[in-house]
Amino acid sequence: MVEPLLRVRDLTKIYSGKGHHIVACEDVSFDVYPGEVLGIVGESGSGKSTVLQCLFQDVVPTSGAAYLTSFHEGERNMFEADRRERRELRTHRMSMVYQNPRQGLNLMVTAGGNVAERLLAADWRRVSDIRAKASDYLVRTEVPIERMDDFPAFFSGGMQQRVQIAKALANSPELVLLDELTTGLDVSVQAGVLDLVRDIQSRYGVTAIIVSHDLGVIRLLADRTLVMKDGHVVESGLTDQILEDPQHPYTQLLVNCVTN
Amino acid sequence: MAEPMLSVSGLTKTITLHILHGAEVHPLRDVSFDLAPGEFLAIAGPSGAGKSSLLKCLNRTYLATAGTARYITRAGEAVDLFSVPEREVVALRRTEITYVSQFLKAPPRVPAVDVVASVLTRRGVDLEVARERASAMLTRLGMGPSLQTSYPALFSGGEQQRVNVAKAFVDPPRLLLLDEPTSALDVENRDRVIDLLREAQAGGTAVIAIFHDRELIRRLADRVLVLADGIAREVAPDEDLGIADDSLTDELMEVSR
Repeated sequence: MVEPLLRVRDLTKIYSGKGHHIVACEDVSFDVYPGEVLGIVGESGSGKSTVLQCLFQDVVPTSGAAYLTSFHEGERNMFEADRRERRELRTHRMSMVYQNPRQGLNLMVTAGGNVAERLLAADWRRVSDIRAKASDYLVRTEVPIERMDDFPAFFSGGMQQRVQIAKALANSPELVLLDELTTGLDVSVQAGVLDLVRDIQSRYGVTAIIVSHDLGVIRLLADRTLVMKDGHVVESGLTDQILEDPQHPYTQLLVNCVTN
Repeated sequence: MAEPMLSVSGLTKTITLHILHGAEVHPLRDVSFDLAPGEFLAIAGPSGAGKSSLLKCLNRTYLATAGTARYITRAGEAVDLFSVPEREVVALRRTEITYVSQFLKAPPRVPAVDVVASVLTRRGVDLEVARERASAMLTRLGMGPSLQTSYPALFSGGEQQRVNVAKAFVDPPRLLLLDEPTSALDVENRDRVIDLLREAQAGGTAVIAIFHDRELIRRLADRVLVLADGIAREVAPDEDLGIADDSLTDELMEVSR
């Protein structure tokens, strides 16, 4: 029996301060298996992005645990990593594609330089290797090679996302986290980015968690899906089962809101 | 009869529609049957009788409310299809159980030949070999090279159905679940599908197929499960199915020829 690559247990993030107490996500538990794409769907404010941010160490969770098989043989909670280990988790083992390319890219470093930064962080040293790998991944993500030395600040939104995807995949991380990767792009560009991710997934068997409010994206990419509402997982299952035989009232509502 | 490969017992499906104030629908009530390797079970019955729900429960697209489906895997292991972990369902779908829906749900912007080839690449077949085999199957189903490289979303109903059928037969599984695989096909293509079904059966594939066409049931089925209001009874293929719209369907099929 195959072991999960990632196990998340009772992940909770509460933002509390003077006069406010906001539960972003609470008691979220799930497994991700090697080569699998797990979808997390829910409306804005459901906590789905918080889950990714906690896993990628952008946000410190209030409580809970996450075990990555390759991190201390899966016996040590990632959320208890020290600073050096945290950095190493972000640079070597996981990568994130953000909804807003400004978070994932340095817009005033060239497209090739952005991918090279990621490889450098992952301890690549030979300049020629780095340059070759960066151009390889930009080609795979269909960024025109003549734009490799241009700044992403001057790219279209769709092309910025392609550079982010190239950067996220370049050093073959174990787990790729994708947060609303097509939100804000117009539909034809969305289609191109989705085709790219689907193609890469089928060719290279990347393990990924994809967060989206768009059931169409989830249908296309995810093997299994978690449905989140108000910070909680209300339902999980095979993606076709979630879409065709939803059990929870919220999921039934969500599925019936899709216009096509 | 040989040792059953699949043994369904007490399958009941209840759908609770929370968005309609908790209304309940009962597509299947206490359905039981066995299926041996290489056997062909036809499912008949009027629209809304629960036929598609039955296939979807076996494929785990629907969650069964009650009952068990004891399936003996290729490795000889007995699993309950209704409760086996999702991960194993994914693996079984990839390697030995294929469900073909009534209408093709092809991913957008993927050529027909690649839609069919994906069945093979998921089973570890090299992409080029997979494309060749997919193309040969589509050619056998009367689809020329220009259609093969086009997107199925642009196809007619009959062409989409042939892509769907090609997915089922390009590498016949151990258990094949077919939802009206010939409903949109002309006689010539329907006969091609019949040949493919017989070849698959001869290779040991067990088939559960929904058919409206009496003649097809007579020609293909070993046994028939007739569903009415979610309740099943088994009849022989040449028996009167006792379905109200049976003769009507026959007439429609005649007209459509």
